[in-house]
Amino acid sequence: MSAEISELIVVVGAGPAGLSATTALIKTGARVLLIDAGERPGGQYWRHSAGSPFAEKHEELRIVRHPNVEYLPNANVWAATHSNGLSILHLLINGESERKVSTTKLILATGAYDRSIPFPGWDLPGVMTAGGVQALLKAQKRLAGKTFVVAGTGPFLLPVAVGLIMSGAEVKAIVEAIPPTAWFTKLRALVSSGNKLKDFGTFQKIIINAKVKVHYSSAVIAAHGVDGVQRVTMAKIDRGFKVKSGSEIDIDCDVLAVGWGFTPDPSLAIALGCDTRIESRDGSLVVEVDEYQMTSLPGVYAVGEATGIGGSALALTEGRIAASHLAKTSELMDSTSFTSSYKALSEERRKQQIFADALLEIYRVADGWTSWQKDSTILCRCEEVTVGDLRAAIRELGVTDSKSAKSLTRTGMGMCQGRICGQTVAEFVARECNREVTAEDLRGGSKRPVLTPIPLGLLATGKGGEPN
Amino acid sequence: MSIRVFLNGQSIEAVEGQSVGAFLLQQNERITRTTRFNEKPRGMFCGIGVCFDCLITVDGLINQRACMTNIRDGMSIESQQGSGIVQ
Repeated sequence: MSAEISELIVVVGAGPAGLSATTALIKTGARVLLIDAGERPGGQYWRHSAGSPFAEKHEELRIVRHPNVEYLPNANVWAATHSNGLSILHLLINGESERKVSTTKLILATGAYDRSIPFPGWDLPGVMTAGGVQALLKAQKRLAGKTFVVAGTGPFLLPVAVGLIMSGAEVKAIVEAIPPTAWFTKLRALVSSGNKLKDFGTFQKIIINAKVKVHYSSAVIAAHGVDGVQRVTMAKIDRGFKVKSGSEIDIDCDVLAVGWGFTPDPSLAIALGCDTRIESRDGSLVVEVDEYQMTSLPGVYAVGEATGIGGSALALTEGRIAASHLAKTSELMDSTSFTSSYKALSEERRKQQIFADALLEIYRVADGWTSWQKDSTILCRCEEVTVGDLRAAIRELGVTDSKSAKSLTRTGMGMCQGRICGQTVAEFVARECNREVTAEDLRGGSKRPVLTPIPLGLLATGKGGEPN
Repeated sequence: MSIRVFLNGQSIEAVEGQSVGAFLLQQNERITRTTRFNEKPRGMFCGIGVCFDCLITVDGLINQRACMTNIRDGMSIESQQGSGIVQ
């Protein structure tokens, strides 16, 4: 192995977490290979359109132009292995060429995507994730339609609705599953983060000025239409997310933007062999890390949403912590500087974590969503497996977990590889079998030997060569 | 810059620097394909390349994600039926 490989620090993911790690590393004199699936840096949170002045706004976004950063956009890690401290990543670049990268120093910042919950009609064109509707606006400056309903749960629904209002769309309603009083239980934790609350206040003001009605303790439980959504049904729900019958109201709209918080993406960490755990606050599968953001594998760190949903401020801090520790172990930073920098950063992380945890607990998705389903509701969008198919497989074929559900009903076997339905199928099966979801249930749906679809021709030609 | 793309055979003037999905929305088209089993219409769902729902045929290549593919001059975009494989 050449000396160059051992010096190269590889960061996967150019969202806030990965960019902050890269920036902190560069300041210590390190050289970084930054791999990202997007065409511009920023990930989901700092997504922006081509040529937008936003690209200059943060030091972290500008770091991709630093001479010590090799920035690889449009690059997907499609396979990865780890043994004896050496991680090998197989990249697919621009969908056509392959490159193999080896490193002993790796930071994973693979992020998260909208969490989805099935309901009758959620497969209709015009039903989109809240993040998807926002991404279209931010990167493409395009509205997904004319009249919107924004639904689901979480503080993210507000900036999505505000973005739509500011772009001239008609937002018919914001439908939030929890009651406003849920905040009172966590007031102390929330007040500790003044800046975030200020944003929240600004959003509320815009929503009130635009006369958009916010329905609390409510959910969109069905979407209707022929070639696309034309109407949605909203209903009152209790704290367990059970529908209060007779409370159903129909609202006309051509887009439903729906989001239930976020799903961390630990699949690259799992492919490498990192330990994972269930985050009890939202039931998601996350990468296990220690106080220095190090995973169970030597030299492999994980930062940001893949280690648990916590928002961009926490992600930035985690990136800096991993970078400092890696700089120390690489002898780019002495122990004294590390100790003082870690002390400040870990205190910041502790505070940000309290705020993040409070939000996860307030906006927790309760079990009752399973009661909105009809037997004809699509559960796995890719393979068109319905709730009825899964119930029958549990009843008649002895399905008891997501692994047997996958082999007997094809849930999670389509092109998204269970990214959309993995958690819901695991929860659905566990509930029907009267048991709790286990980390093993979720790991079954997140194990992806091929992480992203690749052209078969590429495999056949055996391109890719030697590491680096 | 103004370019020309072909949507289901029809030549259309378009602005460069946008995704196939955004271009389709501009054309008031939100269906990219019908599904393999139930022949149901589908369009963009996650919008960020995760769900593989907005599959469409681009320059003869099936199963391309409309949300992740940028339009190019002369590109042929065809909505997809079922698996997309033409018998």
